[in-house]
Amino acid sequence: MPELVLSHVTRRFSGHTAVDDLSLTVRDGEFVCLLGPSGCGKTTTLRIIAGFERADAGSLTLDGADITALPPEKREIGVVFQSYALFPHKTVAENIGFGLKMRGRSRAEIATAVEQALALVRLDGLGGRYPRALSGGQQQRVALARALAIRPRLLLMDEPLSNLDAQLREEMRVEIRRIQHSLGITAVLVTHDQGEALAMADRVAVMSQGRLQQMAAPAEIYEAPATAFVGHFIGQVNVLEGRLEQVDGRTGLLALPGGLKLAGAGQGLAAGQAARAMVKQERIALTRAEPTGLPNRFPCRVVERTYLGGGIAYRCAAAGASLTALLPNHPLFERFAPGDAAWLGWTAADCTIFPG
Amino acid sequence: MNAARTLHWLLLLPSLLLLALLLGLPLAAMLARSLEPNVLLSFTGPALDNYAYLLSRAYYLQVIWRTLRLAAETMLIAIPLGYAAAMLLQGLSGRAGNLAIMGLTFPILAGPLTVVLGWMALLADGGPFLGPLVEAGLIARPRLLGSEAGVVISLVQFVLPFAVLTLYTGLRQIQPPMHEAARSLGAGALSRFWHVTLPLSLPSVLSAGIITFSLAASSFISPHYLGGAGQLTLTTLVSQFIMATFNAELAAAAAGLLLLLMLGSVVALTAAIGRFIRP
Repeated sequence: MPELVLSHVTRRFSGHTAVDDLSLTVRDGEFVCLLGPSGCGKTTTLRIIAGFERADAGSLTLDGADITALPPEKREIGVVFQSYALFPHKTVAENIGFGLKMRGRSRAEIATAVEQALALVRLDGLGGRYPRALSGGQQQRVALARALAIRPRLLLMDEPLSNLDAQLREEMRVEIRRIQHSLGITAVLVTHDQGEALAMADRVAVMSQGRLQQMAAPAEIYEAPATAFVGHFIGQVNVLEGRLEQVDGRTGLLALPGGLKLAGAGQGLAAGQAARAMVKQERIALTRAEPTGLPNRFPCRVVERTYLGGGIAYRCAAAGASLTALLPNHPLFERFAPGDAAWLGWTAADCTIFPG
Repeated sequence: MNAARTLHWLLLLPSLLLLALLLGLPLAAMLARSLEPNVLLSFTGPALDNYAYLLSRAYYLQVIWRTLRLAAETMLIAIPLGYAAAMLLQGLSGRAGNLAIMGLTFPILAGPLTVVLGWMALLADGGPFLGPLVEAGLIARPRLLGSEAGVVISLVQFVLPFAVLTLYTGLRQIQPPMHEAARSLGAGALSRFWHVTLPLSLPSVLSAGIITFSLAASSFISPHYLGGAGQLTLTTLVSQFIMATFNAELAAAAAGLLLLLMLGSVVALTAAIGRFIRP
């Protein structure tokens, strides 16, 4: 079964370590997104898997076989590039058939495979065109069809949607997922767009500074971040720094410099320690009445109101702390104006505390 | 939209005028002169008698044929050499690449005459290149000076930097992911060259072909100093008409022929290589 295992993979460029002792497993048929800010090493990781970049240390196995030293042309891995990298001097059909031609397949066999691939990406009848006569979305589909035509053991995609406009991007998310699912192919997609990663992946691998921060299902990444980086990076987050006053197992009380005391949960907490609490913006309730059911509730004043269409963000000041609450733009929710007095409230479970 | 277009033309006007004045006028004057009678041929001009004369003598046809042959040989040797060099150049990192390009352009800076004088010394029978080999009995006296081979060697050297730089620019325009895409699809080094690098670099191969052919066909210094009277080409023939027989009209006709032949060759070359450029 095509399972990809990276063990202690490291890649150094002059002066900095792009990938730092990275170990992860992509299971058979799984769709994994490598997510992180630019420069986090996700693209280098993808290039090491594809074989375009060597690993200075560590090893890779695919299907149980060591591929660390195998050149890319022997890996049987399909790659979709950010720029698509379609051959401009070849027609769509020739592009898609290129991999099979390199494998010495017969003309008839290639023609059939090209037809199938075109149907798979819903571009029937466009085989005779040249890539430049296609729209960006169509080129993207051709790139996908070309990578899939060789029936690869693994499909790699490097920011495949970043060159598409917003609406097409949403459409292609669904489309790529549909194709990946229908073929049951193991896939790794690199993106800096967390929305994309959360929407598409079976599991998301969050990377920062060449290291794997957390690898888990999208909901777990979002709801239960394992590190402060993940907590901060995923979603719209309020970060509050303070000192832990009391700790009881996994729960703690964080005292902020302005006097607020927050009840939250975390791991490895110790009393007296400096720590950061992270609260997602949409998990904060903003009401005129005191939310007596919530352990964390503080009177505040609305400072700024930002209309976002689907939601409204209110920046509020409470005892020297600045917090943003994101409320749905819905009649059931109260409306506020800058200067209004209100209450902020959230549960202890929505308040994740990280030491340091 | 129309006003903008008019403005573009207006802005282009000074340079177009300058071009017409500096290039078009002398060219027209030369062509007009080539149609006039002279000390050798008397006819009522303007007429094509000078051209007819040149094209009817076996000796001059031989000169024309030699001119084209030298240019074609130079081009056919310089393009593969230049292609290999351009590919090597591409593999060099920033500083080494810059140094290599500076080194390449040095012969252009030094001027062809200086370099040809060097070739005269090197290619001489007793010169440092061949002398020791001849003395050791390894080769027979090759007589490169005054031979076609000597001229081609020096012409190749002269046009090579232009070929390398043109091809290098062309190769650099191929996006690196193109090669990676081919690799991931299973193409080995040879297949990648044949299916990706070569076809995508054809426009620059065509440019380099036109440049090297034209430079070689219109070169004067190499055939003059290294070929001599035994290896006359159209350029050295023009010089003979002017300096030895004082026949400016026939010289103009020979120059006109050279111009026409070069234009014809460029068209033929474009048609030949252009067929393979897609889409």
